[in-house]
Amino acid sequence: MKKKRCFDLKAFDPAASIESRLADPEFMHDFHAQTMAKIILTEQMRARTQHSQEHAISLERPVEDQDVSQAFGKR
Amino acid sequence: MEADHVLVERAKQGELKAFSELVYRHQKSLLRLAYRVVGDLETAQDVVQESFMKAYQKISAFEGRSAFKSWIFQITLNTAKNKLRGRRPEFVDIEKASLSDKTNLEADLMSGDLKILVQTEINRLPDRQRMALSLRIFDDLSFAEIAEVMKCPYDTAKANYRHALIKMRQYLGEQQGMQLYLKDNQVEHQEVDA
Repeated sequence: MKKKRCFDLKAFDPAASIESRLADPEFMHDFHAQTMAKIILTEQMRARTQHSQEHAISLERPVEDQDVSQAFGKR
Repeated sequence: MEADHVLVERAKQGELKAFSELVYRHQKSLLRLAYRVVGDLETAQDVVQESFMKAYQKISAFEGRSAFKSWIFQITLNTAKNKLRGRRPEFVDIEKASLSDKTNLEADLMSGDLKILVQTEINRLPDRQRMALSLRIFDDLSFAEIAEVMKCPYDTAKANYRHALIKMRQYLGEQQGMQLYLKDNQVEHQEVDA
């Protein structure tokens, strides 16, 4: 038994036009490096934002406590 | 070579090298996938990078009920579709894509006109049928994987693919009297004795 192969839709893959770029190891290496750099940068920025938010919250707390103490006339 | 799910577990523990391996492993197929949706390589690159960034941020929430490949395909497909929103759709001018009278199908195939016509016809398929067809034919995904990517039951994924094929066969049959080679589908395969 043999499969009759008259017409293969795979031949119409629009992505076939970028195959030569994808086969270029330098292109793929650069793309990978760029992707990882973006991930690292985003993570660093996220960590920095999170840290500064936590720092702001810790600075606010004593002020609130002080305000509450003053409001109730405590020293 | 470590399996994807092992690398995912290592990435969840904060091992960036493991995630880097996942990027390396899937970047090519994702670039193809994104390119088929957005139509240019530069945007496809943005889509894939954005998708990997989203995946890295959400990796701890990934429960592994589906394969990592299906999950990242799903993220990339959604990111690509979002990129397309608000962008003017590009239409192929059907008048410029004329079919030749040649009976030699291979020659027609090489001419490019037929390519444009078939791609236009694929683009005219309903969204989910086109997606199922593309994932099956171009990305070689199984129906189980297609169901995961499209977030639908297995039978629905298969039905979408079959409907797409029927439409394509109908169209191609009308145009050229051609028969589609239906990949890995025993019901649809035409088999002849060698």
